[in-house]
Amino acid sequence: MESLFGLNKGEKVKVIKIDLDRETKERLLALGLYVGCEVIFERSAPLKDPQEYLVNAQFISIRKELAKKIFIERLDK
Amino acid sequence: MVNIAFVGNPNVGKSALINAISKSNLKVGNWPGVTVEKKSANMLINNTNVELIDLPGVYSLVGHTIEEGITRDFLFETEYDLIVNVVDVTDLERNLNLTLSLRELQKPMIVVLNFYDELERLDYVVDLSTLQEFLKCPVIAVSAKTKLGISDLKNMLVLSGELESFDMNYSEAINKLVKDLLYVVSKNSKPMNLSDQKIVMLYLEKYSKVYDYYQQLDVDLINNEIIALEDQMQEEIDYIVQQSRYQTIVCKLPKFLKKSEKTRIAFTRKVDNVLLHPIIGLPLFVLLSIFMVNFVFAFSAPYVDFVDQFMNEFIGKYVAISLSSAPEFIQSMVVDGIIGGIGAVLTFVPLMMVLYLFMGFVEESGYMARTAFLLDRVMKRFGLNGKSFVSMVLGFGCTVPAILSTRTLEDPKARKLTALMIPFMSCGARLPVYVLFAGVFFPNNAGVVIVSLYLIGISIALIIGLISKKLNLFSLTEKALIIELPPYRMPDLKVVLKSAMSRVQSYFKKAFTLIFAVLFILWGLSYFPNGDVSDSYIARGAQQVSFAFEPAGFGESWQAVAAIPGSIAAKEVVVGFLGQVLEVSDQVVEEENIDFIADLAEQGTLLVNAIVQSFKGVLTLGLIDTDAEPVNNALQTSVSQLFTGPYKALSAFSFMVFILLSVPCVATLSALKSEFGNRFMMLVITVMLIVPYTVSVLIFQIGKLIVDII
Repeated sequence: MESLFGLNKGEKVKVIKIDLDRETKERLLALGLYVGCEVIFERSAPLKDPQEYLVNAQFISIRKELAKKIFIERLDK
Repeated sequence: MVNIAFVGNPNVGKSALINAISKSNLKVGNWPGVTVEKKSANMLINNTNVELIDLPGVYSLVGHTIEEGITRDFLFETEYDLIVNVVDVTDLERNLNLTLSLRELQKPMIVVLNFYDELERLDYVVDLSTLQEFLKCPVIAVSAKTKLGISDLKNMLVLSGELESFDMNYSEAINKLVKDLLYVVSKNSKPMNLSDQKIVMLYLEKYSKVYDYYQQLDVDLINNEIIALEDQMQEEIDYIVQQSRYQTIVCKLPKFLKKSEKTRIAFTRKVDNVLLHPIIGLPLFVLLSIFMVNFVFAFSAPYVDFVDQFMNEFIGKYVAISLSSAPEFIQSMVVDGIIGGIGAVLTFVPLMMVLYLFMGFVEESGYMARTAFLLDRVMKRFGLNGKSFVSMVLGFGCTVPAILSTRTLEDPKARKLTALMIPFMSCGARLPVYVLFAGVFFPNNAGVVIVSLYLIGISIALIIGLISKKLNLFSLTEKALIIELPPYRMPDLKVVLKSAMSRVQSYFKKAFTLIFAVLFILWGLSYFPNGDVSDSYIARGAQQVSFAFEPAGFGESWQAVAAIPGSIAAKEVVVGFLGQVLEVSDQVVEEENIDFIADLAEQGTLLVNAIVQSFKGVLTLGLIDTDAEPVNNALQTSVSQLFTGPYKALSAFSFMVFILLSVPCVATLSALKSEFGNRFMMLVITVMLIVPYTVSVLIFQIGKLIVDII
């Protein structure tokens, strides 16, 4: 399965599985990131980590390790 | 008294809204026991006394952060009359999530759609009556910025309308659970005074105070149902409930919100394409930091000098005159001890004020969160995150506000580690010491020497970070870094100003006693027994212990050793102290004119001058020092006699390193004490006794070997 890490800039994907502990999952949910939502990859930080995504109308930033545990499927552009 | 709680997500403009409603009556304090700011305002609306309370911004009521705890405790366990839920209307999808869990409380509530003026630019349309129908409570559109709807909202605050009950419609499976649980709750006593519906939802969200309470009762049947649902959904129940709340909103949203193709993020995205650019993002950050430090110091330096001379040369002079018949030690105690002490504290005020204004601006504009994003990778190595870096950069200016700025870090352990690293960042007050010594002992490479001192400070801080990570001294838990990068918005300057003022105030309230006591003791030690510094207790003590500093290269001159305790008063005191003990005869004592009116007028001129200098400083960004201090030749000559022999330069360098790394000034110590308590302050003192000694000895001994070989 592909994860949120390693997407192309501007690519839109759909979250299909989140393999994280409950607390982290709830924190992500509070920001609007949950299974079924759509996410756009915005950019990596200049030092390649962390990553920035657009969820709804909200920019959020998470570290590489976290992004690798959020699984996605690609949507047609 | 009507108590009104303002609740909302972070960055929805709650404080600015309260400020707009109360016509700038906002008061800033702290929530008891924690370092989270408490903002509130008292006012009269239509002859009713009203208190507006700004609860910390949260995303949910069942989260684990300090802010969520405060907001939850307030909403669940205190008495209040009305909830005002402030919502960012440009991001309803996420904001309404909190709105729904607030509505489940079944308390009187108004939903306030803030930033309504931005909707027009986006071509969005919100159907207020449909939204009101959905939430079963009044909804009002406002803009704190353009004052739209503010006076209507004000009237609504004291109008007690009818309270409609709110029933949330979840999926069929959850609705069944809710029904069964409602029955259990209605048949038994409740753990807290909340609506039945809220208790049920908190049970499903596994909020421990509620969940644990009912476990002694007969809930096995319901728990089995829950487990069955969890198995079926492959998720835990609390997550299912929260997700279902979210999906309800996504489902309903098109009914009351017509979106256009435009998004509110377009502007922010454009700005971030530059500020977070893969290549120029970091250099820009470095430039902005240099700009900030320079701006703050160039702007405040003339005021600092003004306050300094005002206390010593104006107030001090006239107090001395009025005491002229008193014994000499009383004169010295009042003028040098008390007034000097108050002066030392007051000189910090302009500096901290400007720094807080700037920091507040950067925070509110949205850039602060981005600096954490830019530098997270670096700080990750030390088990910290990017926000710590910002605090450390501030430390190059002044350690005190840098320590206070660690408040922006969520993890208390990360805060402590950062606070331990900050004093090693060479602050502005240490510079005069370097300038003096480097000028005397390294006349040709003074610049290089000074830069190397800054680098040594940074390296030591990083080494301490690494060691504490390796040994897991602070047992930092790798909490997942999840930061929101809020859209850029122009900060409300009034709120920034209020907050800066109260931060300065609250710091001095706490700090005054400790700073004062230490300065007073230092005065006593350098005055008694004979009123002569070079024969004072400090001098005598230094002569006794100076042998201990021989391995570090500066033990032979007791004057240098004696200057070290003074550096606890303030780092720049080292220079003044050496001036005194080396008996520099630099000042011809002027015949003092006693003309109060003329002196007062002169103070006025000096203040005007300070204002002019400050603006000049800002315009040139302090790059051109318009007020370069005259080189004190007499002092230089005396200092050059401190260290002699083949290793004199090495001794001087070792001494500078010691001053750089040793116990921070008393203002810093009191900041550490008020933020982290006595034990942590003692830890910092211990570390900053051992580290400078070790490093100075190492530098001197290794340097000696190298010099011998050459």
